[in-house]
Amino acid sequence: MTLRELKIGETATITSVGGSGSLRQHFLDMGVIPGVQVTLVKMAPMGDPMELRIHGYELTLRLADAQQISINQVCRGGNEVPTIKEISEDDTHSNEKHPGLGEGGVYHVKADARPLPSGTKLTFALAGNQNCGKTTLFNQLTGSNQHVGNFPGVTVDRKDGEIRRHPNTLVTDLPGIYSLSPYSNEELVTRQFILESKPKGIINIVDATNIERNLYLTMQLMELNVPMVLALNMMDEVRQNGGSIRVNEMERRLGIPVIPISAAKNEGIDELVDHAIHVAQNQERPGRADFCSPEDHNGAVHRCIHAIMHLIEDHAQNADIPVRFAACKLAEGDEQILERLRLEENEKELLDHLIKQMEEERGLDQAAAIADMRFSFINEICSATVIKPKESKEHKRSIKLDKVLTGKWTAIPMFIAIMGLVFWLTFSVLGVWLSGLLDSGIGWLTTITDAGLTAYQLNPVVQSLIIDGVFAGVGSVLSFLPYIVVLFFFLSILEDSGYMARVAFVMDKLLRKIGLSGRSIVPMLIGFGCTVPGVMASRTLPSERDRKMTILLTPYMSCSAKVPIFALFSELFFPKHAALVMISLYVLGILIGILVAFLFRKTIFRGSPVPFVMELPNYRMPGAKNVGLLLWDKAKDFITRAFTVIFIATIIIWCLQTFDLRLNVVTDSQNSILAILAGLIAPVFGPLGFADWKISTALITGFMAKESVVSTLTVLLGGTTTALTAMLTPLSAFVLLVFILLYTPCVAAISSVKRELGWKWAVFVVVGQCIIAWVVAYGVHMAGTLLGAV
Amino acid sequence: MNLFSIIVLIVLCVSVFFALRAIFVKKKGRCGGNCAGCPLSDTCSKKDQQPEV
Repeated sequence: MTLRELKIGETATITSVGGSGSLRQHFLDMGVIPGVQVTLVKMAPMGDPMELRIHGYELTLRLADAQQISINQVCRGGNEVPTIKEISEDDTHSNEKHPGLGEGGVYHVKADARPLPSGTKLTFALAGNQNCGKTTLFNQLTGSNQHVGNFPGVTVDRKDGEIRRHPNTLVTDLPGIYSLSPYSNEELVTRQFILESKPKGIINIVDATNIERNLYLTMQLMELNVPMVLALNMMDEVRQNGGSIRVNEMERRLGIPVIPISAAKNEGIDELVDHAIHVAQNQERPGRADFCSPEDHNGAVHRCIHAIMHLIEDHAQNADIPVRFAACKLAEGDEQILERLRLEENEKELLDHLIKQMEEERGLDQAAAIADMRFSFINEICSATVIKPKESKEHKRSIKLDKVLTGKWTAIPMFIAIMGLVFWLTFSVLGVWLSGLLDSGIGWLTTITDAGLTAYQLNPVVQSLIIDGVFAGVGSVLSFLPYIVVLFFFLSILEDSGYMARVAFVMDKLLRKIGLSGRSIVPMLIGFGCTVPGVMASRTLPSERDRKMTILLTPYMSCSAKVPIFALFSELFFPKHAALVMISLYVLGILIGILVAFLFRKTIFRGSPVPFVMELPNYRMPGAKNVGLLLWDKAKDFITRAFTVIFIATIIIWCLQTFDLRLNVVTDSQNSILAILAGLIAPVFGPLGFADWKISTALITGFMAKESVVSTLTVLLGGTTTALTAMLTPLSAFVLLVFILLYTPCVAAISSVKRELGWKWAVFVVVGQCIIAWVVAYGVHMAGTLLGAV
Repeated sequence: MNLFSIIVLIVLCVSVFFALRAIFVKKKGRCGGNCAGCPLSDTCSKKDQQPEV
């Protein structure tokens, strides 16, 4: 029987984990190992993926992946959140004072300590699982502007900062990972950073409410033999729910300093910093790196790892990889480490024999045997040091909320309602109001500057450059800023609260049909508001393939800046069916987006979307500091672009609009370089039915900002747009709308694409979308003509 | 064109220069690598950055 066949509410024991390669390794790293109990909590509203409870946390898995996991001993219920056991005096009040290790504690591991010369810069790697509060700790340590969220994989970028009040330090925030296997780019980045950049110390943060799974990474980090401290985060939550952790006992067993903290409440941070600096300065390496037991299955794994350690010792030294880490990874079947060690053929053969012997004796394959060895050690240490809390109020709250937010019949209506509310507040209430305020501010500044420049008798051309070029151009793009800030305010609340992970869970099946995973839904939805924040939001996607594909598809979601154009043409040409025209354009945009996605899937983005093995974190209240830092980050990024790329672009467009080919200032805009260029381009639109230079000019200025299309047409048509009815037929007007819907996004959006993917992809978007827009518009024109429309 | 116009024009030209520089000039960070596209470039202190040779 496979996991796929399990019914909701049933619990079973895993007997084997099928599949191959890095995905299978990832299952094992997440604790999906033979012998472990797993309960099916629920299915996503569309029947796929499934939500499982394993090792006390919620994990999502697609049905296709679940089919590869065999189970037996199926029963109803079981695998519940542990109930609290009586806490004795010994559990809560140890006579031994903390710290035990490091920072002047009662004992130190000093055997191989080689203190660094004073003045050496202490560099730290901050590593931990996703959703363990790592970035919150980073913010507390450095005060740096780093965003934190519950959406797994949010820390795609690496960021670093100096520890506050410790000037000669540098902490690097590494991506949230579950192990050091080469499953994802994040795991590879972390592994390479620690092995190659050689930080002086590691700060490993773990979620104390889910300590079993978190310690899996801790053990691998300890194998790297770098001075390390363990920060037990969310200890306040553990305490509040009646749990406890014997910190000194855990220190003694692990051989590294263990410090209980609450990153969100800034508790224990000073002690953590003192310990980290102490172990890094004195280079006190972990007192233990050997986690295999000679008693476990007659020491099959133990003997194998130690034999490999002897076999590869010289190669590991030459490759500068800690020998214990290298041996465990070889035993696990890590090809990259094998390649780096450059073993000789005899040694490779010997290695194969050692592993085969271990597999036979242990009764598990190599990867499962190593994962089992690690989880056995974790079980042993947890049973000796951890008093499990009762079911936390956060978990109870999450279960209640999930009944509605991921319920079979309520999930999608709630998602539509929440996103609708966010859009309404952004684009109809708050954003509009703030944008209006900013517009008035920019208008006031423009008037004052214009008056001042006139009073000082500035040259009219230079004045036009400043007022009509820079102020109008940069000002119009800056008016997007309130939308971006308001939208990201709501999105960061949704993300930090844990809702975005649920959205991905709910929408995964739908998005998979076009080759994406559920996580891509959010950036694409934001694209309906504005492409710029949509592209920016794609950064939260963990897979490079999905991220690129999402960015390229987001511009097909018609942004709100196109609404004035659609409204103007619909009112002029289709007064009785304006709403229908608007809706048909939105639907067409989505359909073309889906077609392009299929095309991408078959050509440049072949392969499957990333597997959906994801943790569903508990819902939590978002921190004001984190939301504030994110907003500042996004606003700063946008303003920087407004005053660089967009500033230059506005000046170029102004020059083209103002001068003729002999660089004389034009009195009639028909003679400007822009009009001449538009005239050159105009024949291209002949087959589409609008080969007029005025429309081509409006399309060119639409590249600056889509709103400019209407204003340019108004200026070129002498202050009124009714003349359009004489220039275009209803069919050619609709074809023009189709072209505007699909052609290149505005310069702000292109600049975002360039920032995320580089120039090559930005040019690809501009050229590709223009071609697609022309082809589709031509198709619509032909279809309309054949159907007899005029 | 009066002196004021020339000063304003010079200020504009300088702004354009810095905007172009921000877009195109690649810098080396303290790591020795290229700052262009590096997620650390925001946090890399400016005094340590050197123009690419």
